[in-house]
Amino acid sequence: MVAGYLAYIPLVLALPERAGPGAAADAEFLAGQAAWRRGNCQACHSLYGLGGHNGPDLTNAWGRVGEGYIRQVVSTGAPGMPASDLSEREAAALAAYLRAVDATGVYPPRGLLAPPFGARR
Amino acid sequence: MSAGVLGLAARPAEAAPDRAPAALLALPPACMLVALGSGLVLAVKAVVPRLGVLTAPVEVVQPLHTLMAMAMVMSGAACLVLLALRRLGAPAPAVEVGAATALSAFTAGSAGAVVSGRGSGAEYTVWPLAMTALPALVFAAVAWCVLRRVRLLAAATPEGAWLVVVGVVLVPLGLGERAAGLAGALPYARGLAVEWHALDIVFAGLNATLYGVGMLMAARPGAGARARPVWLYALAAFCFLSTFGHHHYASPQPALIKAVAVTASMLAAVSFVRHARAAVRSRGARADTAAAPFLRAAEAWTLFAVGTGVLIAVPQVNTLVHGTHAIVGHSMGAMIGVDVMLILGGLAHYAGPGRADRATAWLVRASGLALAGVTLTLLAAGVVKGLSRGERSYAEYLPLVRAALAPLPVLGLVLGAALALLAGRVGWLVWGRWRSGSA
Repeated sequence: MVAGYLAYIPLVLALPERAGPGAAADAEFLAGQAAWRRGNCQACHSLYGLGGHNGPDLTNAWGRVGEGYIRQVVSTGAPGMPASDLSEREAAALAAYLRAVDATGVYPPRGLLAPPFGARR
Repeated sequence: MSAGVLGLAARPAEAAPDRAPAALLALPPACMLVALGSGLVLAVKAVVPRLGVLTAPVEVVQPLHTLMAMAMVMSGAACLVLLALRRLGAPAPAVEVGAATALSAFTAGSAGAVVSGRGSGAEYTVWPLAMTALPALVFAAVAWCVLRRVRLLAAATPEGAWLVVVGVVLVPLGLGERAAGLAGALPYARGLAVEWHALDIVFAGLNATLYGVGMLMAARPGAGARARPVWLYALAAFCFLSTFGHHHYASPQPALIKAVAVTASMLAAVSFVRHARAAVRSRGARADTAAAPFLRAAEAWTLFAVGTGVLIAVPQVNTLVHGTHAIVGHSMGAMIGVDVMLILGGLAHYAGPGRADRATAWLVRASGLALAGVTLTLLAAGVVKGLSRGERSYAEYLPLVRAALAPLPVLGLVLGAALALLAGRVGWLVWGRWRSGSA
C-alpha cells in the first residue's frame, strides 16, 4: 500500500494537464500565490469552488472585473470584507495570479448541463 | 481486554504509569470547544457578514476554526490509539507523553500564528508549514507503536487492526505530501492535484484510524472477530490511496486523476451498503457500555457521510453542489457525527467509567438532532446556490442563499450547546476516573 502511495507522486508529476498559458509556475505566478496565502484569501473566497463560501468564487474574477477593480478591493475592502494589508506590489502580484487562474478554465459552471469535468476558457 | 485473555505475550505494564497524561486526554475536547465557539461566529457571519468585520474577521476566525477541528481529530485519533494499546496491555508511556507535549505545542503555537496572521494561508493545513513536523512525528511514533503490537490488535479485530495500521501510516505520509506541495513551486493544476491528494490522504488516514478504534471499542473481549474477504481490503486500499472525486472534477487537473477519483468515489457505495447492512443488523441491539450511544450515533452519521459523499461525487450532482454550503453540510455531518462521536465515545470507553449513563445518551441524541438541523440547512442553502448561480450573478443569487442560511445561527447555537455539554459530561467522567489514578 505504501508502494502504491509512493508511485502516485511521479505519476502526478508526469501527467499532462489541461492548463492555459498563464498557469506556469513562473516568478509572477508564485509571488501572486504567496500573496493569496498571506492575505488568507481562501478563508472567504474559492478558486474552482475550493475554499471559503463567505465571498464570491474568484476563478474568473480577473476576466469579469479586471485588474483595476481587484487591486482597489484589496486596498480599500468591500461590504463585509476588510481592507487587506497587502502591499501595492503584493496586490499587483495577486491580480497576476488571478489572471493566470482565469486562463485555466471556467467556474462556476453555466447551468446544470455544463461539462462536469470542467470547461476550457 | 487483557493480554492474558488474548493469549498473547505483551510487554509487562508494571513499568508504565497507571494512567495516561492528562494533557493527552484533555486536548481533543478542549480543541473541540474552541472549534465550536469559532464555528458559531462563522455561522452568524455566513448570514450577517458585515457583523464584526474588524473585530472578528473571517480571515482569522475561519482558519482558527479549521485549525482547532484538525487538532481535535489529530489529537483524538492519536490519543485513542494509545489508549487502546494501553487497554490491550501494551502501554507506550514515552510516546503518550511525547504526543501530549508535541500536540499541545502544535495547537498552541499554531493558534498563536493563525491569530497573528502568520498561518500558511492554505486550506485545511492552516498552520505554519514548519509546524507540520509535530503531528507528523507524533503519528510516525504512534505508527511505530502500532506496528510493534499489531498482532495484539488483530487478535481483537482483524479489520479494526488493519484500519488502525493503514490510518496511522497514511496520516504522516499525507502531512508530508501536503507540506512538500506547499513548499514546492508547482504549476497551478499540478499543485491542485498534489494538494487534494495530500489532504484526502490525511483525512482517509484519520478516519481509518478512528473507525479502527471504533471497531476495537465494539469488539467483545476475547471474541476475535472474523477477518473480511481479501477483495474488500484491496477495494478499501484503492479508495484510500485514490482521491475524492469532488476535489478534482471542475478544476483543470489531469484527466486521468479525475477518472481514478470518480471510480474510487463510486466504489465507496460498497462501503455504504456494508454500513447500511451493519446498521440494520444492529438495530434494536442493546449495549450498556460507555461507548454504546456514541457508536450508535457514529453508525447513523456514517450512513449520512458516506451516502452524501457518494452522491456529491456523481459528476452531474457535483456540478450542482460543488463550491456550495452543501459540501460544508456533508463535512460537518462527517466531522461531528462521526469523528467527534468516536473521539468522545473513545474517551468515555477507555478513560471514563465502563457503563453508559442516561444523561450522556440523552446529550448524544440531542447533539444528533441539532446536527441534523444544521446539515439540512446547509444542504438546502447549497442546492439554492447551485440552482441559481448558473443564470444569475453573485449579487443576484446571494440574498437567496443568505435567506436559506437564516436558521443557521440558532441551530448552530443549539448544536454548540449540546456538544459543549456532552464534552463537559465526558470530561467530568474522565477527570473523575483520572483523579482516582486509573484512566
